[in-house]
Amino acid sequence: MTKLPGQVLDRVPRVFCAYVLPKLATVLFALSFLVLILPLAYLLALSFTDTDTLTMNGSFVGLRNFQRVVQDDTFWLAGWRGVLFAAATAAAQVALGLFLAVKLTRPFPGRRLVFALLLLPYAVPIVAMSAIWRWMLDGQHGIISYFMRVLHVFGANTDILNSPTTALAGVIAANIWYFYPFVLLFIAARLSQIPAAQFELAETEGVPRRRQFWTITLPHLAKTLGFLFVLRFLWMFNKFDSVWLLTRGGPIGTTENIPVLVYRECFHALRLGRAAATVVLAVLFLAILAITYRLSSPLRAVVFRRGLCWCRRIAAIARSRIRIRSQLRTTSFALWMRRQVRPSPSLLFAAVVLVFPLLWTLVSAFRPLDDLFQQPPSLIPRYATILNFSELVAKTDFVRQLLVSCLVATVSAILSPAAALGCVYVLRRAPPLVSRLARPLSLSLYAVPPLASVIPLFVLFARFHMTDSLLGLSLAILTISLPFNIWFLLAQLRSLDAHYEEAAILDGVSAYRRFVDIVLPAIRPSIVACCLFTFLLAFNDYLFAVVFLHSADRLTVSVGMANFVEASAVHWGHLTSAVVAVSTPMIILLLLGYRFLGERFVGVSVASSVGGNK
Amino acid sequence: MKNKIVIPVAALLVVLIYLLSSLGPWGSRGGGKNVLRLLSTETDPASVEIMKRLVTEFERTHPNVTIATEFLGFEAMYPKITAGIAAGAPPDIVGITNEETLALASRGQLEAVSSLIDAIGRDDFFVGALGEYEGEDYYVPYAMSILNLYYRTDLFEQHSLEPPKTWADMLRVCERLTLDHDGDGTVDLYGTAIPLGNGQATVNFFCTLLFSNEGHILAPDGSLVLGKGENRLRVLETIRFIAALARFSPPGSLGYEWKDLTAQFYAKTVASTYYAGRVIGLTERHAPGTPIGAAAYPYAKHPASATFSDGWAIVAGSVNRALAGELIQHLVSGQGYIDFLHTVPLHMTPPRRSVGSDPRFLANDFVQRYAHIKRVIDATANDAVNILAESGTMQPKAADIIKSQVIEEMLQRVVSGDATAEDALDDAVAKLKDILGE
Repeated sequence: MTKLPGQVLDRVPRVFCAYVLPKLATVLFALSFLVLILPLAYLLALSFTDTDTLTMNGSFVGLRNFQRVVQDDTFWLAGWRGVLFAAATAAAQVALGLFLAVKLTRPFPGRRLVFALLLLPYAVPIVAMSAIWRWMLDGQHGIISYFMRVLHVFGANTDILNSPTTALAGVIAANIWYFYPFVLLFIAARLSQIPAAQFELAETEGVPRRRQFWTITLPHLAKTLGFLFVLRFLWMFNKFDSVWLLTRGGPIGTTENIPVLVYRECFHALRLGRAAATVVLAVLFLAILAITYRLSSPLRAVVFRRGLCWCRRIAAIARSRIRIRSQLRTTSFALWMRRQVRPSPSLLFAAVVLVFPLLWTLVSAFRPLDDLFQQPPSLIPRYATILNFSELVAKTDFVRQLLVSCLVATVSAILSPAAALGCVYVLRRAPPLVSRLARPLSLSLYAVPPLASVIPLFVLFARFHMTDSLLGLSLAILTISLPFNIWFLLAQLRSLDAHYEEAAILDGVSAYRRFVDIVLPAIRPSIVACCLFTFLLAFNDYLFAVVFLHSADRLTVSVGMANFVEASAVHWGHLTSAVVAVSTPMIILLLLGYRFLGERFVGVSVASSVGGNK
Repeated sequence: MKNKIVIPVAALLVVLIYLLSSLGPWGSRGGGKNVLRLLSTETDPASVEIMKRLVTEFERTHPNVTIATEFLGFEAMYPKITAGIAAGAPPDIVGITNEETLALASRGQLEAVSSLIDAIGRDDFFVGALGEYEGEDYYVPYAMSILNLYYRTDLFEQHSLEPPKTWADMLRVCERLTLDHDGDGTVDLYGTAIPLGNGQATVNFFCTLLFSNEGHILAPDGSLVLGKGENRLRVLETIRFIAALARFSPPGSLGYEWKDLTAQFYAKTVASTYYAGRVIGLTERHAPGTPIGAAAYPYAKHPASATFSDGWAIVAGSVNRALAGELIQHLVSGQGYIDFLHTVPLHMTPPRRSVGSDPRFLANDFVQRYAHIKRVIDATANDAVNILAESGTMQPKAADIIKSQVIEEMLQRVVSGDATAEDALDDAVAKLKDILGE
């Protein structure tokens, strides 16, 4: 039979998708792991040398660096402080993210905007917000300190970030604020994958909200919350910029964690070898923690099963009564819908508190400079002005930097999840041992601090003339985003119902088609979450941009904004207006992202219930 | 259906990657010209604007040269240079302080620029602006930071106070000016702001006071004398004075760096502060109409000021050394240089006497309005000591001490009551010996 031209053309993309893409995915997988592993190997090699940071010269010294590091009390103190800081911030971020995500499942007018506003802290460059947090927490003229004085929360003359007793608490509070949106984003994605029928049934049975949360939501989220806690712990343990910019590890070293110690070793003491040894020991510690987490899975499984058991019981009871009470169900659902149009007061309170730093920045951006430091601080400006914005546009390269950042972030947001999907596709078909090792391995790579991998990566990229290139920067950002994306997508796949795929296998559907037609649609919210995460990460990146780029016309907005915070002065007008200017497109992006992620996520119960009624 | 998504996304990606790569190093930039990379840490928008103008002027007179200028904060400096050296692609010219200069020069990472200094006129420079290492100069200073006591003259007049000259005067004045106006137990105005955070400001402050008490950190032979003999007593006196002064400084002083000192001053929460001329311009912008005076920082035995300079250095391995030298000369001469200094007037103090007295420099409105402060700055500049060269030549160990944060932690422990001055000093000496390998 002769093929029509249209059919021939139709086959080209199919052949491409069925044969070329899987091969491409394999290559991507190999390249990704190579790019991720090389800096680690380089770092390990450096740790056995006495390499000087500024000359890069050094000789083999065996285990001497490790010996010196473990004999130093500072290392153990920094480690302990790092554990405390990471555990506190990770736990609080997960708790806050969970609270907000669950509260946001209820529909109310302006929900999208609240969702976007709540994600915003993650989008604003840390270097800018750190200066603003320092200002707000200043003991003499900071607005938060002023409120605390009025409310008698702290003593009259307390300066939170600069007091040895409160500095760590201040740093923890700021870091919870910076990063809770990350958790919110991923819990939101996971919530959207909970079968809506369970909420519907519980609702028709009159199961109270609180009980629904404990018996349905939490058991479903248990694994994700565990993952997120571990991830946030690893990430916060490696956190450098948000600690350094707030306190530089002081006062009296009370906020010094391992990355700050590494930075000081590397760029102050100029002992790159010893800094590398410190990183290697820290990564080992994190790897032990990750393995412990992995080994504790039977215990976690028991908790998880118990939760699910409750969930099933409710579903069973509901199923037996659903027909009898169909009329009642309609009535109760209508009541429930009416109840939902009001946002939860606790959500509104939390949103106001969490958005306050940005609100303060917004108000400050429209203030004249001589009104910024009035005593006592006031939320109402003497008069509003747009001078700060006009100066920002006229006297700086802000607009170009913003466009460059958007470009880099967009490419990264496509490249990284695409590469992660390629890796996931390959790993699902790999031998069981490789597949089993993939998750802990990607988790271990996530444990390598970016500060430690930036120099080896730069050297590597320089060999291929990819420094001072935005494409090179996007690829470098892959090294920090890819491990997480692989790990998260693998975790999501594990929680998928295997029956559909098994049925497809019985029908003789190819692996590629199963992946595209079954797996991808099922994890779509997670992919969107990965895209958003990577976009925000790339947009916010400072370290890689500052090292990899050097032409003035290629600087990103976070580097540009960092220049508003000089050693001797802060350009408040430029800084606050830049934060507002950056936030505006971010809100639009997050509203768009919400269309793909949020609609299903927040409307999960309602949509299904309405569908059920029909 | 899937292709409907895959193909547009792939197309978008291709377009974006094309855009990115067109801005990459294989683009048309340079175009066969000599490319000089210049890294500046002067990120004030006004300074950036003038720097760009100076660079354009140079490119106009050198048609075969392209200058790639980069403006980055101090924090980004070391990662940037380190990565560049490691990859064999460092910038050609860097604008750095004498502290960084010493760290790089002692590791052979900078080219000597003594001939440039001689060509400009060695004798014209203030002694404190220059710093030789092993008989060679490694940076051409373009600005000095002259540190003094800045105070609100209205408050001093209101309380009939004279600017303090000695440590005793300073304590007395600060005590008078630390006030709780409304009697609610919260201090509304502090006598002064002092830097005790982790950073250069604290070390500068400590050294200024220590030098005025005839104390030293390093001996002329480069050995550590911080805790030795009679010098130990002078160091202890200095630490105790700082602890006493801290009572009249806001409690946040334990974390204060340069920018916090200025912020406290223009927010009007302190009556005086330790800093350089930038505080004037910032106060004009944030608290217009605030009258400001300046005086040499109070001393124990004789006036002293530890200073640091910003300068241009040529990185070893630069393929265009001669051209780099020409560019540096262009950056520190003529009307353009004076305009550059005026971008942060009276803060970027000219390191050369001839520039400071140049009619073009003096013609500036800001400089004329604050002529009384300029006189104080000039007097201090004459006697200022390069913080890294207490005994004449720069000591590499001094840079290591400044970077170590040991001095800051020693002061923080005493001020916060965590340790006595003696214990804190002993611990600091032990740590420094370990760092310096003594």
